[in-house]
Amino acid sequence: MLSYAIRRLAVAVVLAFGVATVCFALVWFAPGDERSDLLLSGRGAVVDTGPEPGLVEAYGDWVGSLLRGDLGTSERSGNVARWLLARLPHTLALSVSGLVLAVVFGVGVGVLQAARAGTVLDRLLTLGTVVAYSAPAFWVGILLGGAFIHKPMELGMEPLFPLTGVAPPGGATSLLDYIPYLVLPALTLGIVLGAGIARYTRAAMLEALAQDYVRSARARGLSEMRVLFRHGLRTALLPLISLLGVYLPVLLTGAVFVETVFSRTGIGLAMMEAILGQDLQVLMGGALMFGFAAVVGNLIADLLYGWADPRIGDAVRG
Amino acid sequence: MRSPLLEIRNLGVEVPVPGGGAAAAVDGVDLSVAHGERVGLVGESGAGKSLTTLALPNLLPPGVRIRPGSSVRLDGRELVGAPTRDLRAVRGKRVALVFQDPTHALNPALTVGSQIREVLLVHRGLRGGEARAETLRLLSEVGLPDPARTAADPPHRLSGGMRQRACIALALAGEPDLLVADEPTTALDVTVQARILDLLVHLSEARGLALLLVSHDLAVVSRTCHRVAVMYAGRVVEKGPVKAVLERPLHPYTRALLAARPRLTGPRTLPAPIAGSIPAPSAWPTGCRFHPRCPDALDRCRREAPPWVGLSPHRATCWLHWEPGGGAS
Repeated sequence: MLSYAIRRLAVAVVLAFGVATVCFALVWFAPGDERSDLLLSGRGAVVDTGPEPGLVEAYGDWVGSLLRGDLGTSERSGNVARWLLARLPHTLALSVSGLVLAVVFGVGVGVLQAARAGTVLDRLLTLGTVVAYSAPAFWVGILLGGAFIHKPMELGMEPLFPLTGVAPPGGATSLLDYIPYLVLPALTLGIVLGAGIARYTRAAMLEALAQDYVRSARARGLSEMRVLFRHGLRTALLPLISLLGVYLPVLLTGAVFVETVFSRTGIGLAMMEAILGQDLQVLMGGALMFGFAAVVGNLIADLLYGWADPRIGDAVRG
Repeated sequence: MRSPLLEIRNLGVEVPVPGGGAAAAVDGVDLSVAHGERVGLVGESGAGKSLTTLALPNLLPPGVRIRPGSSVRLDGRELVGAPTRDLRAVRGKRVALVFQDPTHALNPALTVGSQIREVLLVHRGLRGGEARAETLRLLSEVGLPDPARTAADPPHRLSGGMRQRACIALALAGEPDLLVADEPTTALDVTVQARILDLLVHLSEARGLALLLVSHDLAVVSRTCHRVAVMYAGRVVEKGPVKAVLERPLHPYTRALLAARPRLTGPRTLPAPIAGSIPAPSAWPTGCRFHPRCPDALDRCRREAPPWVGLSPHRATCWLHWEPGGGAS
């Protein structure tokens, strides 16, 4: 297992390097005047003097500053790394709570559908999950905002949740203060991602429930709950671990739209503002962070999978 | 005389037919198993053997149902129509099933030991050290050489024969009175088959466990069972003590099954396959269902279902042995 972990880690490092290189290349080969400013500003403020560096030199400089944790500086935001790191907790809080909600929704609905396959309930839930799966995250966010914030305000009531932001004006006094601001954005992500997980779980559960070992479990007189959850769900959910690794980038891009809709000052909103304000430094920094997050997510998924499924564990032990 | 442990009367199992409707894939089966008795159920694929066994604790797949008027009694208690809660108390606890393919009968994501402990908890309330000790005892009872290691292994680390032994240990965990084994050796190597059969006989004798052994192979049944029932097209066509049925088969189908066996001793003759195959339940012939494949079929066989003939306990349903006013009953 250790050598498997080390191998996966090595692959992840190479992958992260690749992600960074692609980020660099996208900017370097993009048309426009921005690139020299962008790539040179990493090594200092002087950008107007001297000849323009070649590709190799610029790339070397850029990688060097990246390794020092220097993402450059931007006129609007100052030190990009510091700017983004300050916003990271809000994005993490949103992503993690959204993911938890998505798994709870998705697995719950999927198991219910598989246990009641073919019934009216199953069909209604299929309709609902297909709609939610197809809906863009920002649209779901706007709908939820309309239902829980704007509608009550129109009716002269207090909105159920704060309209925008991440914390009360004047700052939070405890972690609990953040939660009301998190509910609707996390719900938005949870619905959109959960719909996909529900579709997957339903299919995987139906397949698992048709297996001989599920019939054998029933033949042993185990309760339906045991059959569904211990024997059906357990095997059905193993691939979900890798699916979640794949979902991580979706989660983060989802965060871009959700943070914009709810004006949460996270990395997603920072990137959206950077796009509109042509702030390439911040955009690249954000893209790098998301890319690295995806690599780390997949690494965690691989390791978890090896741990959770004895067959994979054996296969990698050789 | 003590009442039989298992008594099946007029069992019918209806399967959905493509295009709508249902056909009786098992059609009026009568069969009984006494306490501690070993009974074989023999026939080709499609005869309805497996559906018969799955119908006992009602584990039939969705859409397949037991026909009204069927009766399955366990120690006199009716199981057909019993609530699921009661059936769950029978499954694994009174009647345990062992299936053909041990590779897929065990959950791949759980260790062998945890699957056995689950049954011990559900049916016998054993937990903790007690459950662990009983798990090891069961694994060694079925002849696994290293119980502690096997208990900690996920199923894929065991060989086919070891997996089937683990499945048998799992079946014994609820201390059942009847073990129903559906082709338990078909998926295994020939050398392993014999050992598994010996194990089943040994367990049956040591524990007083009744055994209903389903097989397509008369040789398997002859070395393990006291009595045998031969099924064809959803019906029992011949039944009796194993020795009598094998030595003096009454039904042409039983004779054909015996002739289809490869022989290692005696005259060097090639096995004689039975021409054709069992038709689908929706297309079963009138009269005797075997008549289209029967070399000796009479006109009457095509029109009328044959009566039971022969002297109890060895009997068959066949017109060939029927004497007007005589052996029929």
